[in-house]
Amino acid sequence: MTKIPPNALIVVVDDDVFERMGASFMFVDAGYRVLEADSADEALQFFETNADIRLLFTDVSMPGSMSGSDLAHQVAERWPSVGIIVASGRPRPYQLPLSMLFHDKPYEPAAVLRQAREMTAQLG
Amino acid sequence: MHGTGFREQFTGIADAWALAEGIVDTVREPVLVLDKDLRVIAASRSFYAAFKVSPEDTNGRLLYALGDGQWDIPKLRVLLEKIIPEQGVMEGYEVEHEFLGLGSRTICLNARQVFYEGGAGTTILLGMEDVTERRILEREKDELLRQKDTLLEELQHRISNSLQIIASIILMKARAVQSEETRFHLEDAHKRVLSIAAVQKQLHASATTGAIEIAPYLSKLCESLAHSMIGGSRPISLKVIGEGGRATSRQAESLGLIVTELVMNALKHAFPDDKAKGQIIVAYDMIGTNWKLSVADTGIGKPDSGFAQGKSGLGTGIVKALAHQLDAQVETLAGPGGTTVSITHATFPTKAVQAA
Repeated sequence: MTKIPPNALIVVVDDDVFERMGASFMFVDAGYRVLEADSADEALQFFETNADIRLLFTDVSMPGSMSGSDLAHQVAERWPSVGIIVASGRPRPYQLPLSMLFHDKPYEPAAVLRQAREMTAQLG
Repeated sequence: MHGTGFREQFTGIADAWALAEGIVDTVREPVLVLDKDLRVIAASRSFYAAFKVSPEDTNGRLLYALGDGQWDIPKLRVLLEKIIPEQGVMEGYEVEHEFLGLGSRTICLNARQVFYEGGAGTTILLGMEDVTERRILEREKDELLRQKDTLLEELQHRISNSLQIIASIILMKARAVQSEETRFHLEDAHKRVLSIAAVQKQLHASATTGAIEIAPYLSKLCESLAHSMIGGSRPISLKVIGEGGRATSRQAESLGLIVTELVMNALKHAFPDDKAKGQIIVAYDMIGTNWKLSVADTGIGKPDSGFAQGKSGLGTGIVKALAHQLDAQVETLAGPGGTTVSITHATFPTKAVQAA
């Protein structure tokens, strides 16, 4: 699974420590570099200070001024080249554009990694 | 009462009047009999009781003057002065009004105009049912149902997140251990957590009714399994066929877990070549109380030896235990065309057995 280390930078957002660590390890093991955020607000700060972030992997329900779907919207608008994957224990939020990739929690890591690889490859 | 015998039996006006009075007195729902000027000719006992008034203050009085004019209600005027003269009958006309000593009540009105032969004027029968408590209970019931839905959603969310936490911890353990075998087992445990989550999620989605429709349930479950376990990585298709049927949510859960186990097993062992095309077909058919579930693959037919293989394999054990719980038999057929595992529940009516 880790034939070509993608090395691309990913932001992982989840307010639950275990879920965030699990997702983070999953991406690190697949060869990515990861920035962890426990809220949408913190994640947004990463995007504002790092031009080379390639992918956002975010939870939906989180404390703070923004939900994960708000974050996904903002990122899609301000950094259109960033790939976005959303995961939640709730049903897919209706505000989420159908073009955005969504996974039910618990997600299958192989499926998420496959999409991550496709998106980071597409983006060059 | 509506038969022709009615007129013949009550030839005397006095008899008919006595009967009418008897009826008005007996009905539990408050009833007023009004003349064409809306003056009270008769009132039922239940009317006096329900609105706390005396016969002296009621009989012979104009309806709108009763109880300091508390019946002078705009909606009631519309009913008696417009709707009834035009239509003759009105049923289930609800009025909310503040009554003396009773507070705000919701009254359901039924009114009917009665004509007499010879055209000696008309009489209006006005039945009034106090539906205040019923409407309050209905509103409370709707509110409780809404709360129940919200709670179920919240519960589902918590279950999903808990399963995600468990899945994450198992995978973190898997990457921390040194032994290949232990890692294999932990990854297998992780897959089982995902399969339980998939079954649970589909059951939650179809839990609004008591019985589960098996065909759409298995289709959705397999869609989700295909999405997470095959994705775009292998040229293997997974489809559900058969007539389907209905089952309790407990049975559906067992069926779902069996399908998940067998599909996972087929993906793991039937197609050793990752590039090989293949098909997995899940079928469920039901006749009466008998049903058959099968999972067939077009793979190599002879499963290679993996950790979970053989008679003592965990996967096989789980399928057998679940089938036993469903009072069903497991049969495996493997050949060059692939492997088919069938779970059959067959009962014969006692009579048929005795006759045979």
